[in-house]
Amino acid sequence: MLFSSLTFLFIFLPLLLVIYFLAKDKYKNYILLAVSLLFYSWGEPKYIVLMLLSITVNYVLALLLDKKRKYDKLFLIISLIFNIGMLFSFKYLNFFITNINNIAHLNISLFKLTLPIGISFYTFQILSYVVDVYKKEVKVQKNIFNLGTYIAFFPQLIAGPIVRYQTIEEELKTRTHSIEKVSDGLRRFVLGLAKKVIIANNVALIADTIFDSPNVSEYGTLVIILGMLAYTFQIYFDFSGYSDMAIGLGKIFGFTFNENFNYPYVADSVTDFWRRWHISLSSWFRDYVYIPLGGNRVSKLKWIRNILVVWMLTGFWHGASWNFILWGLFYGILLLIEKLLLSKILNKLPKVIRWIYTFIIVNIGWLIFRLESLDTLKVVFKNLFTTGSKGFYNFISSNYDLVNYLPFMVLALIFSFPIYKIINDKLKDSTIYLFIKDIIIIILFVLCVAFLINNSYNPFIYFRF
Amino acid sequence: MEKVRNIIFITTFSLVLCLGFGSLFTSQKKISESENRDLYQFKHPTIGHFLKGTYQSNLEHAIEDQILLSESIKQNMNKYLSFSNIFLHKGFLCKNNYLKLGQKDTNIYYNFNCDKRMVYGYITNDDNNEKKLISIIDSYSKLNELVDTYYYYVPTSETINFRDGSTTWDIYSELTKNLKGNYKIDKLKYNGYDEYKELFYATDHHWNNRGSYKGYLDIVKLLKATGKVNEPVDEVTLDLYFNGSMARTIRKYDFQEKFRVYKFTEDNKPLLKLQNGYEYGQQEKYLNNQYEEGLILNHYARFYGPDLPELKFNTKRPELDNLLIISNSFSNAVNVLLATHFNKTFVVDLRTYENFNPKEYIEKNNIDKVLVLMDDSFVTCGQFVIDWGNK
Repeated sequence: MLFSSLTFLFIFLPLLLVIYFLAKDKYKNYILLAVSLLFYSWGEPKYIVLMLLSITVNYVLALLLDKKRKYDKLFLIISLIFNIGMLFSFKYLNFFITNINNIAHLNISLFKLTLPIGISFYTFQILSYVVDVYKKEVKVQKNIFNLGTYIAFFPQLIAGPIVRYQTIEEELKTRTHSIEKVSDGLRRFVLGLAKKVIIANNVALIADTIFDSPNVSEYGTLVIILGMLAYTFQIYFDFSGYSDMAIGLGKIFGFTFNENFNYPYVADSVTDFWRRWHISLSSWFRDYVYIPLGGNRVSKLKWIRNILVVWMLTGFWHGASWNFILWGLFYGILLLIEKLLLSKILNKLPKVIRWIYTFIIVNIGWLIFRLESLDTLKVVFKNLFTTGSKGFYNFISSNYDLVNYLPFMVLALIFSFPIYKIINDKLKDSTIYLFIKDIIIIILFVLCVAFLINNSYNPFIYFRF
Repeated sequence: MEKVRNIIFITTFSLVLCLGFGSLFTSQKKISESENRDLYQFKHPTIGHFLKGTYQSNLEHAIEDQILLSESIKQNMNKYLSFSNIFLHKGFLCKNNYLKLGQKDTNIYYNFNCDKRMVYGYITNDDNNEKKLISIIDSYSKLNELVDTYYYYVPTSETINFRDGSTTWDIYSELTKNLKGNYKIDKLKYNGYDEYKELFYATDHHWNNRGSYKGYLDIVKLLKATGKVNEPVDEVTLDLYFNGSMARTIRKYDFQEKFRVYKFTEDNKPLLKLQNGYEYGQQEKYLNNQYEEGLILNHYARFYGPDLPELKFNTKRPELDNLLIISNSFSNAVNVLLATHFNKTFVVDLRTYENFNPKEYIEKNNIDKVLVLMDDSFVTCGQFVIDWGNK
């Protein structure tokens, strides 16, 4: 189920709110676990078994690891093999088979497996829990229902943010509920919904029309730039909108999730961009891969290796395809260049130049991310720099319905900058402003519902990761 | 104050949720009269349907259909979010000097059926539409006096209620009763929804290859056109994603259909080139699988040819008549077929002219016959009225 579905908004959410807030505190986690499993099974009924297996196995392994400290490494390894093995089987196995077939000219048949929704997210959450128990940074969870609630908690289950166990460890036991938390959570939820439904879904049509066309390799510079910009906005408003909804829902039920985005498109360096984009993923890789590898407290060569390994894995986490690996390495190399050479020069440049440099890099990055075929990527890249306005008029006249979605690009551009944050910070003490803001949020919610009733195009990018 | 604000916000939000939630328990609407389709209904869940995911998708569609004000939300959203029409009306895509698209004065919205087939909402003979039809009839009656004029009318789902087969507005009868002068008239005939489905696209408002070919055969007879009729040798279903005009307009991008076309032999094929040597449409490319694909690509216009203010075909056979076709995009699919029967064929789309002088045009191009090919939107579009003024 998606948050941006009418079923969620008008059946799931109201029923859950009523049941949850009528129930006694001691039953609240059970309710959340039950509805989270229902939420998950709504889209993937058969994979609910996988989810339950994951919860049970990791619960037992973490208990054993904590109880038999002599063998804790063994249980940790078993847990890593189990979790990464699951992720590998469902997400990466066919990728490796295809590549082995290509290299060794074999014909090993592929497995007919569909990717369980959110497996990359919940696997990383489970890993963080088991590793933290092993490192004694968190206490083992003795109540399987509480652990289940953490792993399956529906707001962050299918698209993050990746919530560490330690972030909500205390809140799983005791948490407070208040009118303020509920109303703030609802506001945040609606703003996220608007980002997704009003902006992301509409600019997605421009990006998908261009990049899903089999003739994408024939488009000229202007068409590619249009598609690239549209995708840049789509992925941000889609994913950050979903994160906002997750954070808002978490707050309603008394949980505090960390922020996952901080206006990434205002970044003035690639390093800065990655401090602002998908924060929960980059910090996960930092804490569970980069630092265990030695981080930057090693020789320069090893440090370079560490950076490249982390970024290759970051890319690979997004999908079993070479373009994602390339995308990760693209950023790894750029970060190295910035750290070793460019940062001194960049710091001397005006902010606007640094911003343009970063925005162009990020757009190129998304192009690599969007085009899964490396052959297509090669041609599109060449065309991006060599073909000018060729075919632009023809493209627009054949796709003139796209004009309908251009105003949403303008909205996307405006709201990529922290305008809302600036206004909010400035006027947060004005009662009139706060009332007007609430009216706007309610209107936005009604508008979102209208868009959902009318619009069948509701893709969701991070669903598949 | 903060607490009061929070309570007011939660109450208002809950009210919206309750309105949505509550409307699901009111009696279910079965039919949308304006959309001419069955609405999705709430069904009892079964384990089988849940495991297949059909229960979930039906529920989502049912909420879409049954929620309070669903119909008017759809109509208004489509009306206000069609920015492309604004650009089209401003002549954004028009390059020729005589091109200036006027304000479109049809009042159409597009809908769909539960069988994934989309149809227009109805138009009726209300005073406004009746006036427009009378203007059309009056202005074309004058044309009848000038030259041999032939009318071919294509009834669409705009004027047929497929539930009982009744006509919401019998335009054909009004034309035959009220047109004056020397003319001949015929129409595309079909009985009921099943035959309609054979002749029209599921997601686009135009006639498909079968409908337009049937129309072509009727028109050849009506015009008593000489020469061998172009006979297709094969019907090919192109494996492409066709998201027709109606689906595009209401943003139902999951509504798609296969694109079926006819193939002709080399010695019996339509006239695909215009007098200036340019190809009209991309029929050969499509048949050789060299076509573009895209989510919202207009394959009808790309395959048959786009809407242009004027087309000129020339078979260089002076022994044949010269034909003028006055039409909208409906003629795109038959222009190249009809052109093989005439010496010169001219096609004009009056929506793109500020002033069209038929007398001058007919004299200048030695027109022998005029074909007025009209669908329902033609007669309710003021731009097709010929402004005779003092011509």
